Amino acid sequence: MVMKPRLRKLALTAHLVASMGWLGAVVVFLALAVIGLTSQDAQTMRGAYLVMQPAAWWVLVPLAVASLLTGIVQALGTTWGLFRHYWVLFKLLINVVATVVLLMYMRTFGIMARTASDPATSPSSIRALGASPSQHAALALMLLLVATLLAVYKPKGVTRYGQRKQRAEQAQRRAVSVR
Amino acid sequence: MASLPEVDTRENPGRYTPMPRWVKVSGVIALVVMLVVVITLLARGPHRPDMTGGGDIPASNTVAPGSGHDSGWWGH
Repeated sequence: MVMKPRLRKLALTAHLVASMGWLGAVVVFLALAVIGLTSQDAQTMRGAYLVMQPAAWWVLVPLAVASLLTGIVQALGTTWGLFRHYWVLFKLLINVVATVVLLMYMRTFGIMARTASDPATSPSSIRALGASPSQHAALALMLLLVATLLAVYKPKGVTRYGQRKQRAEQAQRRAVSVR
Repeated sequence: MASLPEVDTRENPGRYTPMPRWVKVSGVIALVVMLVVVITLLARGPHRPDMTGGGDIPASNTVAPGSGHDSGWWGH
């Protein structure tokens, strides 16, 4: 079912806002992670880890899910389809993997926040939480940039499923025009 | 974003357009990255409690240094 132009533009706008918002939020998280890792001020370090958990729940997760859902709506509501073109398929896989990893990482944010909020925990122990948040944020940023590049350049490549669908549609159009 | 989907206009129904090179290269890169991640996870082994040496992290908040968390099967 192909969406009408106005509805398609609305869906596209929603998808762009969610996806670019997600990308921007990941950049902020990368900055927070680096601050948590490198800051010499104990308060700043604790604050960085403390804010990650609520910010992830209220910003990262909703944007990730919104990006995934609006992307699926966009694909299914246009002639691009969800599985017909490789660039769409790759974007879908990137989005699903990134969202699943994010949801699994929420537990880690909780552990880090609890560690940072405990006044008995020394700054060196908080620093010992390691570079995991920054590594994950950097990887997420790379994946989202790749997805953005795919969306803009739309490299050629039709899947076998897509080729079968196109041929079926062409055959149908020919049959209709012959009548 | 106004570009149209490409259409395979060949008439021969039995043959498919070959997979583009960028898909093959990307697939290989993704596979290599996944293998590296799996091998790294296997090499690190299970998490051990309080490896920090500081002794001042409450047991409920203990995480292995350098990994930052325990998150189930993904567990770094």
